[in-house]
Formats: sequence, C-alpha cells, structure tokens
Amino acid sequence: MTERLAVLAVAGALVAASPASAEIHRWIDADGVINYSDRAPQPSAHVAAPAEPAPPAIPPPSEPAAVAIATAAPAAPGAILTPAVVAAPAEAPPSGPVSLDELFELTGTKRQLAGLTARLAREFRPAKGQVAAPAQATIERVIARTFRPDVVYRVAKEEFARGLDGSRLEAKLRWLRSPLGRKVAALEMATADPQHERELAAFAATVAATPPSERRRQLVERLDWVSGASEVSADVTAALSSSVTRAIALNAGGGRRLSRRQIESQAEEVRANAAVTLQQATLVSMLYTYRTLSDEELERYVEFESTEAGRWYNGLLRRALLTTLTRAFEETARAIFAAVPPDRWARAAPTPR
Amino acid sequence: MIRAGATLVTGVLLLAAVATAAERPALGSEFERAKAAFAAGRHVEALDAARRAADGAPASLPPVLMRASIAEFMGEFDEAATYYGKATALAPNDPDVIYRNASFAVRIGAYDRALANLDRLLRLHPWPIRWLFAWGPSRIQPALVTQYPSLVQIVQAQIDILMEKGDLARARALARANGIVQPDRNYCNDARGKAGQVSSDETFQIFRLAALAQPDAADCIWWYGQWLTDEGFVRLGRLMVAEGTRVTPSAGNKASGAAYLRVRLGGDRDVSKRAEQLFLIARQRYLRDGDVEGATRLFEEAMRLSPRFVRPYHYRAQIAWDGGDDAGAVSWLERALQVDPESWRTHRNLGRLLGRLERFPAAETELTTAVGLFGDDAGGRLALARVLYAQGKYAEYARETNAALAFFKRYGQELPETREFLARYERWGPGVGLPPAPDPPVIMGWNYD
Repeated sequence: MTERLAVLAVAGALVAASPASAEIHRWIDADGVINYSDRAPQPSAHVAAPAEPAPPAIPPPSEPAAVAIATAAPAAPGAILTPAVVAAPAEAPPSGPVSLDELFELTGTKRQLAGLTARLAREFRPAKGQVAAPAQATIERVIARTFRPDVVYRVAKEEFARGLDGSRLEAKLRWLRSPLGRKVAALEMATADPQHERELAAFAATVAATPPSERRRQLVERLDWVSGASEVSADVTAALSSSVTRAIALNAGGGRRLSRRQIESQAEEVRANAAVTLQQATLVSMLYTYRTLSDEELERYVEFESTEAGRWYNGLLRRALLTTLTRAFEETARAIFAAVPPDRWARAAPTPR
Repeated sequence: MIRAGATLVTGVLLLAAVATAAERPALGSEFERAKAAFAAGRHVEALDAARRAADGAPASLPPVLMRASIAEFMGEFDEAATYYGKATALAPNDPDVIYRNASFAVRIGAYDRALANLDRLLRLHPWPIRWLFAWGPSRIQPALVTQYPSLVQIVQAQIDILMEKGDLARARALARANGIVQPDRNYCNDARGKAGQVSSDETFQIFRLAALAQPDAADCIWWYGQWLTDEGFVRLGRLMVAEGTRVTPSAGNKASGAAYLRVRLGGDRDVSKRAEQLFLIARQRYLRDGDVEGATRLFEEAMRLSPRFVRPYHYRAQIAWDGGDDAGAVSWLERALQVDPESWRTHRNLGRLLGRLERFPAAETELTTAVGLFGDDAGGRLALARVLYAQGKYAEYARETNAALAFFKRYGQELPETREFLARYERWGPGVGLPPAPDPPVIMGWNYD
C-alpha cells in the first residue's frame, strides 16, 4: 500500500513540477491577429471539419516579444483556425508555432507522464497467482492497449489545450526559460527517473532522523498547497477506486448494481483515508527533489507557482491529468473485468510487487 | 414510513408464520417463496411470488392477504385495494383483515373508511369491554387497554387519524381518556432531555406524546413537525409546524414557522396522502432496494397525483444523476423549481449539482438563493463558498466559510478539513485544489427529503 501511495505521490509531484504537453501553435493570421491553437495552422483551414470544437480565441499576450518561443516561419496567410480577433496589435511579435511538446519537454512532463502511466498500469495487474495464466495474458493485453504512453500523452495534451490562456502561458514560459526555471525542471525530471526510486526511499528513511529546517518544511508545504500536488494524488486515488468499483459492479453478476452515488461515496472515503499519507509522501518527495536548491531558490520557485500564471498552469495540468487518467482507468477496468469477471480472481491477498 | 413499513413487515411475516403452520400443505411453494424473499429483503421477488401464490389459490385467505400486504408495502396501491377487497370477501369478520383494511385506508387518506373499519374491529370485542371502552370512566381505561392490547392499537390508530385530519383537540382527548398520555407528566421536558440521545423512532414517540399531552408546548409541537418533515411525512409535518407556530407567543418564532412552511414544506401546495405515501415508498424502493424501475414509476405517479409536490422531482433528479444523465438531473430540478420556486431544498440541490458539473456561476446563483431562503443553512453556505472559490472570488469564499464554521461550531462540529483549508488560504493565498464542502446534519427538520 505504501508503495502504491508513493506512486500516486509521484502523480502529484508531476503536477507540482511541470508544464504539460500538446502542441500549442502560435501564429499571426492574415489580419495580424495572434492565434494560439493546439493544431498547426493549415493553408486551407477554412475547410477544417466543422464538427470539431474550435480552439479558444486567446487575447494577445501583454509582452509577447519577450518570450523566445517563436522558432518557425509564420503561417501562411489565411490560416485562421479561430475566429479573428478584431483588433490587431500595432507591432506583431515574433510568430511561429509554439509546441505543447516543447513546453512539456521543458518541464519534463512528457517523461514524467510516461513513468507515471507505467506505474499506474501496475495497479491493474493481478498479483502472482491471482488469476490463471490465460487471464493474466488477457489483462496484459488490455493494459498494453489502454495505457499506451503515446495515447495517454496525446489525450493529456488535448485536455490541456482546452484551457489555453495566452498571457498566462507566456508568463509560465518566461519562468521556464529562466535559469532557475530550467534548474527546477531538471531536478523534477531527474526525480521522475525510475532509477531514483531507491534513492528517494533511502532519503525518506532519513527524514525522520534529520528533519528539514522549519523554513524548508514550510516552503514545501506551501509548494504543495499552491501546486495542488497531493490533492491531485488523492484525486487520482479516488478515480482509480471508482473505476475499479464500477467495473466490478457491472461484471459481478447476480449482485445489485451499485449506483453512481454509492460508488462516488466509496471513492470519497478512499480518498479521505489516503489523503494524509499521500500528503506526507508528496512532501518527502519534494524535499528530495529540491534538496540541492537553496531556501532562497525554492522560495522564488514557490513565489512563481503562487502567481496567477503558476496557479493557472497547475490547475490546468491537474485537470488534464485527472481527466486523462480517469479515462484510462475506466477503459482499463471495464475491459479487464469484462474479460476476466471478478469471480475468476482469487480472493487471496495480493503479494507485494 | 419506516415505522409503518416495519409494522407491516412484522404483520406480513406473522401472517406468513401462522399460515405456514396452519395450512402448509395447501399453500404451496410460491407462498413459501414469497415469505422467504420478503424476509430476506428481496421485495420485488416477494411480490412476484405472492402474485403467483394468490393466483394459484384465490379462495385461500393467507396468500390473498399476503399479496395485498406486500403490494401495499411496495406502493402498488390499486393491486393492494383489489386484494384487500378479495380478502374481505373471503373473511369479512377476520380481525386481521379488518385491521389491515383500516391501516391501508389510512395510508391512502381514506380516513372515514379507516375509522369505520376500526369501529368494526372494536365490535368484535365482547360487549362489556366495548361498553367500558366507549363509556367507562377515564380511570379504568388504562387498565382496560392493558388487559386488551388490541384496544391500544385501535386507539393509537384513531389518534393518528384524528391528528392527520387536523382534529388535534379530539386526538388529545382520546389520548388522555385512554391513558396514552398522563396529565401530570411533562413530555416536552423528556423530549428535550432525550432528543439526540435516543433512536429516531424513540424521538418520534416522545415528541408525539408531547404534542398530544401539552397543547401549549409550542417548541415541542414544532420539533415534532420538523422531525416529521425530515422523515417525509409532509402532511402531518405541516399541521404540526402550523400548530406550533399558532401557539408560540414569540413573534420571531411565528415568522420562522411561517417561513419554514413556505420554503421547506411547500406552503399550501397540495400534497395528497396517496402521493405522500407513494413518495415515501418509492424512496425506500430506490434507496433500500435499488429498484430503479419501480421507484421511478411510483415517483412519477406521485407527481401526477400532486404535481406541485417537489420531493419526487428531487429523487427523479437523483435517479437521473445516478444513471449518468447529468442533463436529465438538472432538468428535473429545474422542473421542481417551476412548480415551487421557493423550495429551499430544490435550489440547494440544484446548486450543489451545478457545482459538481463545474457550472460555477449558475451554481452560485442557486446556492445564494438557498442560503437566502434559509440563513442557517451552513452546509449550503460551504457549498456556496466552494463555488465562489472556484471562480476566484476569494474574499467572498472566506466570508461565507467563516460564517459557516462559526455556525457549525455552535453545534459542536469543528470541521477540521474546512478550517485547515481556510487557514492555508489565509496564510498562503489561493491554491489549486477546491475547498471541501462537508454537509453534516445539525438542525432537525432541514436534513432529509
């Protein structure tokens, strides 16, 4: 259980750490209006499928020129994916695609998400001997399909792109391009590497004996608060619980069908029970991740995360992550328990993995 | 409802046991199946088996009466009426049949028929007993009803009927005359001392006796009405709250009582007894049995009988939401507001639902209305605080949360998670997560629909 909670704490750390990914393209349209979209501008965008929701129209950023995100050539004239904004800026800033991929690379989100996906997929694997070998193989096939890292990443990007906000994004990018922003991102990416798991566990064991200074403790607590790291871990835990419960209830056979209210109530209980442990795990993970930052550096990071742009980014990433993972959990649980009904799972307690 | 249900269950099982002992060979397996299913709480299955049992032995009283009883329990009132009629035809003087007919008549609001049945039941007792029961001095009544317990049932049923008819004076006189209440006992003080420490049923009994024994005990009568409101007995609840409001000397309490009747009990909107009972049964079928189809049919029948009675709409919304139909849930609550725009509970439920759906501005409107209708709705205030926070209205969030926490604290509820969240917000500014919005029940009469 502790191990599982630690995995979920990593989900929280992911939110604390990163800008996430989908491609944000920025370009100047024929009217000189700055556009943002998760889709690259097309030469004949007016024939784009009308059924797809239009990307949000985003007001011009306040200081567009200061952000070094324009690397490609301007889009072709007429590449209008969003309704034209009436007023064009007097001076067009450097334009060109700004990729969500690039953003998520900068923050390590892509890499962290891949690791997180792999770890969460483990939650669905039966313990050794819990199901017969053919059922085990079936489950593995389901997991391989529903937790495909590229699919999870794409969905997360799409979800993230729904909430794009130009000026806030620019502020976030400015932070990421700063020396400290880069340093923080590097530390977060390093922690996401599986090879650090053992080191993190060893570090956690020392925290009780050598507790952090009061200032450091308060800084990570505040970082957890403004980033919502342990909150999202708890949300992911609840989502995992409800998806499994729902799938089991659907496939249990003979039993009474659980209502949504009952399932959510149960998930809420699971969430509440896990919350304290998850928060502790998150705080330890943060102490470990930022151990080489000075208090002043960490404070500057926390200050940025407390800004409107920082909170916007973390909120959006939290939502994208939760929606994406919930979808994956639902699909996985439904497929697993449809293929291997609950009565074919041994009741023996799972062995630790 | 719970009490009535429990009594009926006991009756059905008792009936089944007697019938089993007496007529086992003749009753067949369907009767046994119905009995077993009912005892196990599989009520739909029990009714199906009871139907087959009655169809298979239409001239045998036990299966016919069992079908009538289970049909009544399940809210299938037309079927129950038919089979009580058949039972009466089979055994017109059977005390159990007469009592069940009376009980059923009360359930569907046929009070005069119920009283006539109770009179018939009384006539089955030896004439000296009847004479003493009707005309004997008050001092012998307690001993009489102790010696003949069936008389107590008759009296209690008569009292309930008179109360439901709004004839409190006769109900009180009957209770005094038959020793149901003692003139020198302060039931209201008992109720104050025991409320919250004893079971819900005991609370009900104590407040009922207080309402019967002490016509001037406005607060106890009022509490009884509020207890009935939470339980779903909206008709008697209205009568009791209205009576408590009438007798209270406090102008402030009179205003509160009038507001309660308006925002909590639908004002003067008609709620037929049958609609109220169908609602109560449907709620049980949904919550207890998970019988979505049966409950839906009964809720909709209740709406047809009393279209301005909002509670069935709330449960149709709940069923829609449980089934994943969010838009349907919103729609049912909006329909409820069309029939009762001042229903505090409807605004509250809609506000909470819209909050869950992240339609925060609309949720704010509904929750603001809810706390405007009932200022002590601290749970609603926390829900409002949450949607304010979600919209970045942080100062308003803090104000509503502080007000709610202060209120809950008076009732011994500290809500540490809510308090902690607020403290962090005040220390560090807004975070990414949304504040918790617990909703502990603290004020009797405002908790359940």
